Amino acid sequence: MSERGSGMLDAVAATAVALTIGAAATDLSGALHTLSMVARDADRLGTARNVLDHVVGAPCAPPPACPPELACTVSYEPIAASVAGAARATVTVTPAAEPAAIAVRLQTAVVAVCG
Amino acid sequence: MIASSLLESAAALAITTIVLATLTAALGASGVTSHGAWELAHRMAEERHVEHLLDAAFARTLAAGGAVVECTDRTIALEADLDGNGTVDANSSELTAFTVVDRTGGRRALTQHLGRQSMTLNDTLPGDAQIRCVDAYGASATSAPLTRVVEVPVTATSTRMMVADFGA
Repeated sequence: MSERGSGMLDAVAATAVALTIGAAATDLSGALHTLSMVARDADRLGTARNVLDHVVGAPCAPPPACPPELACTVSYEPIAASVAGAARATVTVTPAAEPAAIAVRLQTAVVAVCG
Repeated sequence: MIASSLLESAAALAITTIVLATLTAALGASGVTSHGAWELAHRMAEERHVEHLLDAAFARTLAAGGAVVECTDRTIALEADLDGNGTVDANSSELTAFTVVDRTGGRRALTQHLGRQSMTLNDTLPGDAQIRCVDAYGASATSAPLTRVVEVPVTATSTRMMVADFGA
């Protein structure tokens, strides 16, 4: 093989190795990102469920404390004028550092007659 | 010519070393990712398993008109006449309790008691894990009948709120 041909072969081999490493790094980075998203979503959903159950069980109590990395809000809308205290409670949980992120939102009906 | 060959060999060795180091790092990172994925799946499955047992116990008790009969920082006990024979058989699942008990190494465990039988649900809870009984106004409930929400430690890092009385 000529010296020029050998040089080209080396260059092709080096490019192939570089591409393989690049692809592996991209895959790995994607996997890590997915993993952290799944973990975060699970935490947010768990928090939303806890807040919702607290609201259902103790509707006259202030909502429970939210983990510091999350922001939790509870809002109420009246749903039946004939039932005193009946409302639709909506629990919204977002990452505290990213208020614009897609929120986990859960709703339920509560009857809160607080004296 | 010899110098040129030596230079090429050195360059080839350097490239090979870099490639090997990169592949080793990628393999290591892949291992860490796999371990993380396994841990996450394990934690979620463990959490869901304990939550399911809690959900089933609370739903069964409350649907049968039962109630929380004991709520302390270590025990939540639920009682219901599940078979409708007019009495609560304390030796059966008509009396269900969840307790937080001390284990070795400063750890605590969540156990479930169905009548006289008991089983450990999770023995990796932190040393300060406890049950929290909440009344209608968000304060610590001073007695079982006042308990409206119960917070039960489920895994080392998570707790689960359970509605203890829909008639509030």
